[in-house]
Amino acid sequence: MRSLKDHMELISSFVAGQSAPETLAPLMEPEFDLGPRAMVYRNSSLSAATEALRSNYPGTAAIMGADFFGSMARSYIDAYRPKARSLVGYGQTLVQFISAAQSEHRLAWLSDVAALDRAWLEAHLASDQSIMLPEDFAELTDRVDNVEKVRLSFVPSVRLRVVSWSVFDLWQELRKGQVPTQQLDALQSPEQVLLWRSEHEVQVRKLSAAEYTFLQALLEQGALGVAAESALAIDGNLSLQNLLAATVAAGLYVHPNSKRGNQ
Amino acid sequence: MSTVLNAPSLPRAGIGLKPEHYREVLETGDMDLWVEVHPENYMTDGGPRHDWLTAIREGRDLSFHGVGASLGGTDTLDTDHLSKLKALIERYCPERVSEHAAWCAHEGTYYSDLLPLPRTAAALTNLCDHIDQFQNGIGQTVLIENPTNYLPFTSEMDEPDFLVEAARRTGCGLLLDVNNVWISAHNVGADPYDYIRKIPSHMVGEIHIAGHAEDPNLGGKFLIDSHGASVSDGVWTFLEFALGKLGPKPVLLERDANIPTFEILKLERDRADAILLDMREVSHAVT
Repeated sequence: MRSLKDHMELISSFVAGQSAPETLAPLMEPEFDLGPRAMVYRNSSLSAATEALRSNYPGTAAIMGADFFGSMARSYIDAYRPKARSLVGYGQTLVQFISAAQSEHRLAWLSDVAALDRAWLEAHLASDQSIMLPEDFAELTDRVDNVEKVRLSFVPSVRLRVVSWSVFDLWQELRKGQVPTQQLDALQSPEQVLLWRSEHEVQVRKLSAAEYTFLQALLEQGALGVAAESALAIDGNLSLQNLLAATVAAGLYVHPNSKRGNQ
Repeated sequence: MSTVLNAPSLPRAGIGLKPEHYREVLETGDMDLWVEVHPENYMTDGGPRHDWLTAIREGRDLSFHGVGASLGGTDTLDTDHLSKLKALIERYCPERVSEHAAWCAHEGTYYSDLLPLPRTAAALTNLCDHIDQFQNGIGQTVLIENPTNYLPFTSEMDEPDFLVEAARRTGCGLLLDVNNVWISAHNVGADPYDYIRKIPSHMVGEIHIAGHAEDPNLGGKFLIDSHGASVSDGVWTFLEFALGKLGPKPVLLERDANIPTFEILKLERDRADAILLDMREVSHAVT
């Protein structure tokens, strides 16, 4: 009889697809014909990890279709088996994996769709924190000498992303389950996207380059004055007052009495 | 009045809670419907799923059914996983916590499936050591579920003896999945009724039922624990036998694939609940 460690070595190797079912024969009762039965373990393991990726990247899965996505998922799982015992966030490196495989799938924009899926998932799972209400912001600005020196922190769910291709509208349709039937015409034109969670739901919004620059500067712990200067350098007509009011109303910032950085 | 009726809470039937049914479960007036979740699905920093579970748990029994502890594995227990589980237990105070007599990770890799143990003295000792560490880590006893067997691994003891001995050594309870017993008996050749007869009633803290499927290639010769169909007629009959032998226990209907509407799932759960309620009537009548 094999040792417990041998038992696990043989089964884990088989489940990972690194050895044939016949390698399990020494673990069986004598004379037992394995046949295809052992495949249930490999298939169940692969299926669970694939479903986790499909759940975590629904837009990507929708545009790729079941077979294409399943094939890609299998390659990814072979290369990056889960380590954590929860699959909720599995696939942390799938965006980079898809990008690196561009010569195979020839879809230059696909990793951008995956990047938005990933950002949505991160926003969905981020911790909760008290938000700064408009009256809190008014009180904050009233009690400081110089508003330009104020630093605002984002709530943990805020994600800012830049994608190289114009996939935002496509991605939104995919999230609604609407898969285009015609040739896609994504342009190589950068888009800036803001994602955050409000009222239990992930919200998304496309940003102008100036809006993105302003929020990115705040994200990097820049003061309002510095962020404003950076944004106005891109678009002198940007209404910072409107942008600040809108983002405060959207619940993007941490309540002044909370302690939390941002991402 | 019978012992059953004097029990602090009469065992009822519950369902595995799926996000698709959050709203219906929250809004149903049936407060005897209890729910079970995989705690691994709630090991997040925050988010709506915690809001839902917090609201649903209010006034309703909850159990945690873990799939990631790998108690049968040779790796040391994952302390990160254990600490996250403990935090969830402290947050939600579930009525029961269960895990599996199986392993799912080896040398740091998670295989996202419940993999089989050989039923040997060495495997039993290893499992018991991990159950002890697990129970100490979470600060409460755990119920250990019998696995689904697909292959006849060389073993030194049968499964009831293996599990009962683990419970005896560690003080853990057992979660008896009658669908797993049914499938295992079919796949590897054993008497499922004899299996139940070997399990002491006082060790069983919960029973699971679920649907299974025939293997797409081997057909009815080989059953798969799919959790993707209604409970089979054979398993319903077997459940009644098990409850008759073991006495009333909380029964949980699992469904993880081809998830039906809440109404359909609840009808199936109500069938299990009716069996438990009938047991109460019988118990009451003979007292």
